[in-house]
Amino acid sequence: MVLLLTSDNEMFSVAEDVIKRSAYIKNMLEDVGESDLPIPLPNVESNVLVKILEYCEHYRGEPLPASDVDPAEIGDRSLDIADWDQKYMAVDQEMLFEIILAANYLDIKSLLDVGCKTVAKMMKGKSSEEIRTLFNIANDFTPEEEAQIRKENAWAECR
Amino acid sequence: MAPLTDTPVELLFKIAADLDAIDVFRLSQACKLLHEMASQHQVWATALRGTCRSSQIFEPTYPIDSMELPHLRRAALAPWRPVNILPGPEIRPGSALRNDTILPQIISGHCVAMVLRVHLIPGGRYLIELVRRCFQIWDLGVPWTLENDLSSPVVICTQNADTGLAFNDISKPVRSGTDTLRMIAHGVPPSVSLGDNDSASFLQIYEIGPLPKDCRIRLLAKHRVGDLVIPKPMRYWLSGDRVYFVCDDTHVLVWDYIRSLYASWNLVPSSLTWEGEAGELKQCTSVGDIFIVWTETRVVALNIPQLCDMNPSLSLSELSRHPVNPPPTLNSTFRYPSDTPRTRGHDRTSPSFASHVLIPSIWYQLQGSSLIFDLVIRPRLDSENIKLTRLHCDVSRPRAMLQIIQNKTIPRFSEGTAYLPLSYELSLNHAVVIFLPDRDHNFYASPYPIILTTPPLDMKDADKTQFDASVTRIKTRLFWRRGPDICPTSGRAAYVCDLMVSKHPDCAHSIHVGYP
Repeated sequence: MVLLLTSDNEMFSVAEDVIKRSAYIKNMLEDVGESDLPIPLPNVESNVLVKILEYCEHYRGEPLPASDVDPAEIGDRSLDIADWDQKYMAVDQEMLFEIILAANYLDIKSLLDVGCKTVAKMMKGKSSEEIRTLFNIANDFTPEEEAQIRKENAWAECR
Repeated sequence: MAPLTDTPVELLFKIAADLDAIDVFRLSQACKLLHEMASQHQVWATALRGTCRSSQIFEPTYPIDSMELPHLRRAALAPWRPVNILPGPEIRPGSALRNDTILPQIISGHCVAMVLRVHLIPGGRYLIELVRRCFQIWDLGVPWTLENDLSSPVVICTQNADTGLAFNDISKPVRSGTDTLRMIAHGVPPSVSLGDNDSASFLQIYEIGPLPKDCRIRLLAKHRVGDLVIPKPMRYWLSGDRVYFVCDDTHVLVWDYIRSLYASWNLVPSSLTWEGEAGELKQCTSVGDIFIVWTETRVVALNIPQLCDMNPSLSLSELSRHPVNPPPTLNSTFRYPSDTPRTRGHDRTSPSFASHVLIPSIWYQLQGSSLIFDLVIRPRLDSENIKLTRLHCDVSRPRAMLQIIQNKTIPRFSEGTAYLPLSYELSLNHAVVIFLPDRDHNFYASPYPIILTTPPLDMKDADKTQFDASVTRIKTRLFWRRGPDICPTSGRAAYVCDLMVSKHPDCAHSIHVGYP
C-alpha cells in the first residue's frame, strides 16, 4: 500500500498497482523504494484525488501505455472517447479542469488525453461567442483590437 | 471563475492539438489570453499538419517548420475558405506554366510533345505532366505564400517511358506515406494509336519521392494488360498496395502488386442481384474492402473477396476473366429514390436516371458504415436544370434504401447551352465540379467553363434550408482540352488548353495553372 497526502491534509491508502498508472508516483516509488512515509501531493485536493483514484481503479490491471508518443503527432486526432470515460468525465467544468491539472501533475497520460479531448470536444464547431459563454470568459479585447483582428482575418471568416 | 483561462499554456496547446484549424481560429478570438496562446508557431504548425491529414493534402506541400505564422495560419485554414465563394463573379485564369507555341515534332503521325494529362497533387504545390515519351514532376512553389505567385515553377524529376513503350495515360497519384506518391502509368507500343488498347500494353506502378528533399521515381511493378474484348476505355485506380482495374466495363480485377495477389469477378451476373435492369456502369470506386458501382438505376456495394496467389504469366485481362476466388458478396444495393428523373420516352417501371446522369456521384466518406455522396444529375435536354442530390446510405444494413439528405436544383448556367461535367475534386467537406459547354453540338455556345461548388457536408440542421451550391463562371477564351485538375484547398487548377493559333489543335496547347 502507498500513502498519499492531499493538499487539504487527507491521507489516502492506495494499492500500489492502482496508483502506478501515475508515472510520477511510479517513478518516485522506484527511486525511493519501500517507505512508510506518505507522498505529499500539494497540488491535489482530496475530492479530486477521489476522482483520480476512481479512474485508476477502473483501469487497474490494464497495461500501462508503453510509449510517450503523442497520438496527435501520429495522426490520431479523432475525438472518439470510450463510453466509460465519457461518463467519468461528465462532471462540472471546475472538476473537469481539476482532473486535467491533476492528471498532468501526476503524469497519468491516458487520463490527460481524455480530459483534453473532452475539452476539445466541447469547443468543436462553436463560435467565439459560444466559447466565451461556455467557459465563462470575458471578452477583454478593446473595440480597436477587435476591429484589428477582424481586419486581419477577413479573408478567413467562414460561415 | 474561468478554469479554462487558468489552465497552464502547455495544456492549452495540448487541447488545441485536438482541434481542427477552424476551431483554433475561433478559440483565438475569444479573449486576449487565448489569442496570445494561438499566436504560437507550434499551435498552427500542429493545426496545419492536422489540416493536411483531414483534407488529404500532400504534406510536403508545406515547409511547415520554416513557415511564418501568418502563412501557417492561412494554409491551415485554407480548406474552410471555399465555402464562402459566392456565386456570380467571373474569374480570369492565372498564369500559363508552359506555352508550346512552336509546332512540336511529329513522329509516326503523333505529336510527341502533346500533353496528355496533368495532375495537380492535392495541396497544389506539385504537378505531374504526362507526354508520350515521359512524365515530369513540377514544383510550382508553396501555395498560400503571402505573395501567392507562380513565378518560378521548376521540373524536379522526369521519368522516361521504357524502351519500346510510350505513355498513354496515368492515374491520379495517391499518397503512400507522408512524403511519397504512387501512380499507375499505362504504357503502349509507340506505333499504337492513342486510345487503342493493345495486348502489348502495360500497367506500371511508380513511386515518387520522398518529396521535397529527394525526388526519385521508382518502378514498383509492371504487368501486361492483354487483349480486351470490347474496346472500351479501361478504368484503373490505385489504393494503397492495390490496383483496381475494370476492363470492358464488366470485369473487375483487384491486384495487390506488392504481394502478387489478386481477386477478380464479373460485374454482371444475376447473383449480384443486378436483376438485369441495372443498366450501364456509370462509375465505380473502392473504399477499403468495399467496391462500389453506380449504374443507371442503383448503387451496388460489394465486399471484395479475399485475394489469392496470382499466376504471373497471365495478363491482367486474362486474370480478370479467370477468378480463383469466390465471387464477391453483396454488401448492399441501393435503388435511387423514386422522385429522380425517369428516362424520357421509355415507360420503365423502375426509376432510372438512365442517360440523364453524366456525372453520377461524388462520394465523400465511408466512416463506419455511413456513405455520403452527391449525385449531380445533368439532364440531356438544354431546357432542364441540373439537379444536385445529396444521399446518405448505411452500408451495414443490407438492402438499405438511400436516404435523401437534401435536394437542390441549380438554375441553368446559360440559356441554350448544354454543359458537360468534366471533372470533380474533393475538398475537406465539399466538392467542386467543373462543367464545360458542349460545343460539339452548339458551336455558338457560351465558351466559358463553369465551376460548381457543392454545399459543405457538415452543415448544421438549421442551415439545411441554405443547402446551396455556388456557381462560378471562368472567363477564358481558351478551350480546355484536358483536365482541369483542381485543388480547392490551394485555389489552384491545372489544365491543358488549345491555343487557337494552329490548325492542329492537339499539337498547340499550354498547361495553365491558375486560381479559379
